Amino acid sequence: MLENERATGSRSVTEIAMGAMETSEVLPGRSLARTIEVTVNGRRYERRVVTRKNLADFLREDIGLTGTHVGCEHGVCGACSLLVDGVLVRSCLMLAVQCNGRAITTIEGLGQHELHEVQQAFWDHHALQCGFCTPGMVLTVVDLLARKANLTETEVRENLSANICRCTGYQFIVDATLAVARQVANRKKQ
Amino acid sequence: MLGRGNYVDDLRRAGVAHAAFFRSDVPHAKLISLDVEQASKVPGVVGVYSAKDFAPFLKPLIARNSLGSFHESEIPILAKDKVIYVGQPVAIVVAESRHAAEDGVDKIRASYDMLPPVLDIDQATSPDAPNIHASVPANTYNHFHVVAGDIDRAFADADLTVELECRNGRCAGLPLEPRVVLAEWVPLSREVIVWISHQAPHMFRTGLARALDLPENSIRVIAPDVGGGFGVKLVVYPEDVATIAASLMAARPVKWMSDRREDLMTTMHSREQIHRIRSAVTEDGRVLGVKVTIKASNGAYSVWPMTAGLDSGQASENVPGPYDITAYERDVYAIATNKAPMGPYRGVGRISACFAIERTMDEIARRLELDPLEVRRRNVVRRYPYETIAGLRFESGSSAETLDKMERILNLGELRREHARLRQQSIYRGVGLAAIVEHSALGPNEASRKGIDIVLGYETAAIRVEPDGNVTVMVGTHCHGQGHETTFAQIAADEFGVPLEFIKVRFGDTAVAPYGLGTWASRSLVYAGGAVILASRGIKEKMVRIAAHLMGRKVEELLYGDAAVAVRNLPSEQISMQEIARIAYHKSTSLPEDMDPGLEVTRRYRAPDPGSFSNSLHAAIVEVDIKTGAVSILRYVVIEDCGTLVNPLIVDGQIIGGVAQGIGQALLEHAAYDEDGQPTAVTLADYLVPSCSDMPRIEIHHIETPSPLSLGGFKGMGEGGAVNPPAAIANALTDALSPFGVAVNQTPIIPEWIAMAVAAAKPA
Repeated sequence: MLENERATGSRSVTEIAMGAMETSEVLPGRSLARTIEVTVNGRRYERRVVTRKNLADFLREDIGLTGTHVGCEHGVCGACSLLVDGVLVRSCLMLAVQCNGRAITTIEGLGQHELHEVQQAFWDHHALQCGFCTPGMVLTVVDLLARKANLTETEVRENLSANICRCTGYQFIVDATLAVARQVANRKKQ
Repeated sequence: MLGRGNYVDDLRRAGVAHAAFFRSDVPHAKLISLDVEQASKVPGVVGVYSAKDFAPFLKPLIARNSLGSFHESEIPILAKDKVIYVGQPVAIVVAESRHAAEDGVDKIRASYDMLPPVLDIDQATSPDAPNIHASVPANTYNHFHVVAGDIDRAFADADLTVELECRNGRCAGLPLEPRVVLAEWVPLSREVIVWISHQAPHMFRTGLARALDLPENSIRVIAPDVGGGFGVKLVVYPEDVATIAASLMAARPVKWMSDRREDLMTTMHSREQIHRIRSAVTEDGRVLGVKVTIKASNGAYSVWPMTAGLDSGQASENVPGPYDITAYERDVYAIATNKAPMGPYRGVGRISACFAIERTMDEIARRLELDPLEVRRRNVVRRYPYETIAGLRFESGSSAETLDKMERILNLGELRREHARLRQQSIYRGVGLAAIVEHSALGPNEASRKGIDIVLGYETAAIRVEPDGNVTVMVGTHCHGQGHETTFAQIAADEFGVPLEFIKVRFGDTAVAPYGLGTWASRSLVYAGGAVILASRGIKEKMVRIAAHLMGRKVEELLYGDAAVAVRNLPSEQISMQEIARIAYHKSTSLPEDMDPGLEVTRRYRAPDPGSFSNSLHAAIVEVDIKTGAVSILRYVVIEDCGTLVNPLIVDGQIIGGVAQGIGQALLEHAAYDEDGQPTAVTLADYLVPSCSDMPRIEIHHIETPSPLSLGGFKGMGEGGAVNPPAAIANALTDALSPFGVAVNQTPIIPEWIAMAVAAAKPA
C-alpha cells in the first residue's frame, strides 16, 4: 500500500504513522508529577518533578548542578555517568523519580575544597581538551579505582571503553588513571 | 574537570523558552501542506513558526564564491516549498520546556509530493537526474579542470600506468557537546545576544547580520566553553537563524539544543569523495604525472561561508602530497545530493587526497616489486623551498628525513621478515605507511584565491596591560580544547618575561575580543600567536618610550627585559612594568604630552603566503583475522614536524586525538544513507567511534624544522593527525592480505567486507 501511495505522491511515512497513533489511547491528557527527596553530594533536596524527566536533566535543571553533561540521551557515550548509592550509572537512562530516597554523587561532589587525586592526575597528564566528557570520565575512573587494584593498561582501557572522548584519543586519560592506580597501590603498601 | 564548565546549555537566563524542530523525514519532495494547528494547542507551547512567519524579516543566506565555475544556492532556514534532505527543519516549536516542545512537534502534520532522491555521486550529474536547486544545473555546485605540466608527455614516457578508484565514506564530526544556541533580544538597546557553541564567533556574527538583515553592532555573539568542534561548528546553520527568529517572534529568550539523532543527521558531514586516479610511472618507480577525477558528495546545500567547493578543491590541491610530481591533471566536481550538507571537518579534503596518492604509492611498489618505503624515497621532495605542481609552496620540511627515521624506528627490514614468517603460520600482519604535508595557516592571497566571501587573511590580538601591571590578552580565535589559554599565555609570558600567572587570555565574546576569524584550518598558533607577538612588541615599545620620558633618557639607551625597562649596561637604573602601567593609567600628567594615556595595543598579523607546511609520516602495523575480518592495530607510529613547538603536551594531545578520528574513519565510522535516502546511522549504536579499548598507544616522534617565514617559526598542525590514518591502515591491510590479492581502496574498512573479500579470493 505504501508503494502505491508514494507513486501517487500523496502521503508520507509521517502521516501514516501519525494516523495509527491517533486511533489509540497513547498518552493521558496531562503529564504526571511526583515529589521526591534526594541527597546530592551530601545535601538533601525535596523537589516536585515530572515523571518523564531523566536524572541528568533533573540534576542540571532542578538542582542547578550542570557538571553532569548530556551527550547522547541513549546511554552510549557515558558523559552523564555518576554515582547513585555508590553505583556508577548513566543518568540519562534513569528517571529522576527512580532516585527518590537515594544518595547521588556528581562531579561537583568531588574535590570541593581541593582537587580529588583523579582530578589532579587529569590536570597533570593533560587528560582533557574540550572537557565535555570529563565529568563522566573522572567519575568512571574514581569508581574503577575504588573497585579494582593493580590495574594493567589493558584493564584500564577495557573499563573505560564505554566512555566516549572525541578529543583526546584517550591516551593521557589512561596515563592519568594508571598514575593514580600506582599512588593508591603505594599507599596500601605503607 | 570540576564540573564548573560553562557550556551554553549550562547557562540560566530568566524566561527562557525551549525549541524543538519538526523535520522532514523524506529526502526529496515538494512540501504541499503544513498543519501546525494542533501543535499550537499543546499545553506549554508558546508558538509554532514556519517559513512564512519568518519571510517578512529574513534575508537569503547564500555562500558566495567569485570563481566563475561556481553555482550558488540559498541555504533554506525553514523549508518553503521543497525539502531536500532527511532531517531538514520545516517548522520550529517554542514551548516552556523541551518536553512540551517535542510534544508539539509530534502534533505537526506535513504532506509531501515525493521526488526521486539524488544519492549516487556519479548519477547525480546525469541529464535525467532530478534537479535539487534550480540555481545549480546538473546538481554541480562547482566544476573545474586544470592541467599543469606536460601531462601527455608524462603518460607517453611512462613504463607503466597505475590506476585506482578510491572511495571514502561519509563521516560525522560528532563533537561530544551537540550544537546549542540561545538567543535573547534586548529591546531597550535594540540588540540580540546569541550564546552559541561555535568556533568563530565574529564570522558567525557576520553571517547572522546578513541572514537577519541587522547591523553587526546590534548582534553580540558569545561562545563560552565549546565541547568540541573539529570544524562542524564553524558555519551558520538553519537552526541557528530559526531559533533567533523564533526568539524575536515569541518575545522570549529561546534555546535550542540538538539531540544526538539530530546531530548525526544534520550537523555537517564530511569525507565522502571518489578519486579516480591514474599515474604515469617509470620502471624504477618514479611518478612522472598524475591524472585524477575527484567527485565530492556535498549534500543538500552549500555551507556558509566556506561553500561546497572546499572539500573537493582542497583535495585536488593535495593529491601530489609530499612528492616531486611535475605533471598533473585534475577534473574536480562538487556535487549536490539529497543528504546532509558537507563541510569542513578536521583535515577536510586532505584525507581523500592522501588516501589516493598513498594507495597509489603502495600499488606502484606492488607492481614493481619494490618496498613501499623505497618508492616514496624515490619520489619525495628533498629541497626547499619547493612549489608543487598544484601551486603549494613548501617553505621548509623534513619529508625525506621522516622516511629514514621511520625505517629505523620500525626496524622495517626485520619487521617484514617477521611478517613473512607469521604468514606461513596463517597469521596475517601488515605494515602501511602514509605521508602528508599539512597546509596550515593559509596566507591571505592563498585564501583569497579560493574565491570565498571571507578571506582568512589575518588574525587579531589586543593586549592590555592593566593598571597593576598584569596582562590581558584578547584574541579573535576561539579555543575548543586546544589549550589556547595556555599557549597564547606562554607566548605573551615569554615576550614580557613574566610568569605565566600574570597573563589572562580572553576570547569568544564579540563584545570583548577584537574581530577575528576563529579557529579552523590549523591557523590559530601561527596567526593568533603571530598577532600576540606583534601586540606584545607594541606594548614594549610604548613602555620604553614612557620610561625614557620618566628617566630623562633617550629611547635608544633603554632596553625592555623581564617586566622592567632598564638602561643598557646599567640594570640598576630601571623602572618596573607595574610602575610604568600605574603611571600610564593613573598619572597621565607624567607622560609625554603627545602620548595617549593607557597601555593597550591591538595588532593584526598577516601570515606569510601561501601558509605554513607541516609534514608527517604515519605507520600502522595491523593483524587481520581472515575469518571474521576483525582488525587489530598492533602498533601506530607518528613522526611529526610542525616547526617550533610551543607546548609539546598540547601538540601530542592534538595528534593523538586526530589519529583517533582517522582510525575511526578507517575502520568504524560511516554516516550511511540507504537507497531511499534515509540516514541509517543516527544513534551511537550505529555510528561507531573509537573507544578507549579500540585505540592503540600512539608513539610520537618530533622533528622541529621551523618555518623561516612565520613569526616564531610556528606552523599549524591541529588537523594533521586525522589525515594519514585511513591511508596508513588501508596500506597495512592490503599488505596483510597480499597472499589473497585483496586491495583495500575504500573506507570504512569493515570486517564483513574483509572476510568476504578473502573468501572470494584464492591464496597466492
